[in-house]
Amino acid sequence: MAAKLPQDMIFNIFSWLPVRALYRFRCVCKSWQSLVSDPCFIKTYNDQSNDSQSLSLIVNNYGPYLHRLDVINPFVASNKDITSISLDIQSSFNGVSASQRHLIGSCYGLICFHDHALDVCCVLNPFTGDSEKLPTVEELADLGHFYSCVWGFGSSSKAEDFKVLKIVYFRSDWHSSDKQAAAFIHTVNSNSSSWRRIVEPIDYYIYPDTQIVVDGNPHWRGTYLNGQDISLKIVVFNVAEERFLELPYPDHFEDEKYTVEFMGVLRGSICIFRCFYSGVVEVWVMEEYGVKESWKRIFSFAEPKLGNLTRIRQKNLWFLPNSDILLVAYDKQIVLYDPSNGCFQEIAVPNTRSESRIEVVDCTEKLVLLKGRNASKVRIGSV
Amino acid sequence: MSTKKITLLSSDREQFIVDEAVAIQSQTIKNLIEDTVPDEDGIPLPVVHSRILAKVTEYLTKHANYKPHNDAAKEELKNWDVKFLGKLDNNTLFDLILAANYLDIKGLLDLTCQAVADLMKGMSVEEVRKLFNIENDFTPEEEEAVRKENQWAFD
Repeated sequence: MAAKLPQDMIFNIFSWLPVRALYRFRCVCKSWQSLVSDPCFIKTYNDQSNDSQSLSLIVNNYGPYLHRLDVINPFVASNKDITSISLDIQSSFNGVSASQRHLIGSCYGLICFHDHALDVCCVLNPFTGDSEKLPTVEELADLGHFYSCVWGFGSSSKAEDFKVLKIVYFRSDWHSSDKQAAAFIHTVNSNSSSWRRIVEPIDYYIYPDTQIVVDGNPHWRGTYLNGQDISLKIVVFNVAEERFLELPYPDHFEDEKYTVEFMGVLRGSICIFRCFYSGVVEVWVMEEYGVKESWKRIFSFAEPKLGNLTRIRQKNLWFLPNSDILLVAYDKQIVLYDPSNGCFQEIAVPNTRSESRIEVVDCTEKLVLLKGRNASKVRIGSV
Repeated sequence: MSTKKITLLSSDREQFIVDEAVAIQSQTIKNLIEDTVPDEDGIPLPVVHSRILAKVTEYLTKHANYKPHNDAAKEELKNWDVKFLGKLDNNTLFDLILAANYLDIKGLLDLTCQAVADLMKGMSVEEVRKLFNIENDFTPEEEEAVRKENQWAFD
């Protein structure tokens, strides 16, 4: 029989356990139950760097569930073990329709998604099932003629203080070319049931569905809202200060024929994928955050011959965290692609109907518990 | 590197003679060397049995002499750690955690705690209670309620 261990050593052991095991061992005894929800333990658990060789993907294939795929050893072709978990958002959020749902983004253990038809936005911890359905923004009627809307999701510090952002573009009348913008913020895990409007004017037109997250702050591709300058910018929302900023975009070369560009993150730095007609994809990296001169073409690779990258959206082409391996999600399949040697491996997606497209974000395993007034639990099951 | 020798004295008064560089990876031993006049038999470690101190010094000797400079060396050290852990039974593993904590050796503490976590991952609640020698202080109704709350963690 082993010696009893003092609490701080239990603490250390627990910090190495996956969330699922922690939740299971809550019923070992009362002191363990309280340890798992102890704020001090949660902070230690969430702050530790996750150097584990596993990868968790959240897949939206427009069915009743979101799927979480846990891939052990994604970098070792011969040794890949995939567990598929279903997140039953349909029954937890009565009436959230599947077909118009889309993923806004992922940040420090939470994901955020939106249903266009119902205008419902939700945040979810895909590891614990903790979730929060946000109220609808109500002030919109007074703004003018609705033009478009962009969502953002980020956090001002690690695994705390999450905010959802909704930017609405509108025009004073149907014929006007001048657009105006209003931005609304909702703090996750708070007892507030309303959105706050940001007072500061917004000068940027942000392209919908282009969000990446660096240091917790959402970044999009965008341009100035009005005026002569129509050059591309990277627009940042600083979550802590609730301010919009711009970062320089690399120069465009008029004589080169590229079809689409995506923004991504390569080992913590912002990168841009330039996809050429020829099938070559260039990767540009902003080596020093915010410095235009530091944009460098790091490498280029041949597009994997599996599908057409031009049909791909932002959330379907990105680098795995801390790696040079690309994830490419085509209409119905996910492929891990190593541009350095051209090797690729497929990851099967469960329950994908033949006509459906998919979108994919990655998510890290954190103990973020949602206890705000709109909190609820999403049922987690194996597929 | 200093070749000065340090004598460590286990709770059952067995002597372990190691290089100073090996010994001072333990913050506790380092402090004892600096702050106290040594016992003539060596530095007394009254809570560490010779059976465990032998393991501790084996770990410290390997890690002191092995500063990995490249990936291959890191890999070799990692493999050594895995082999080192593989030879331990559960009781020794738990005693090593206590010793690493007392001697303040962060690398060994993390290594052994992670090893216990790895053991636990696939275990049932009952197996974990047995491993940790913990008595169930829930009533059957309370336990059922906690289980129900997070049924997914058991499936």
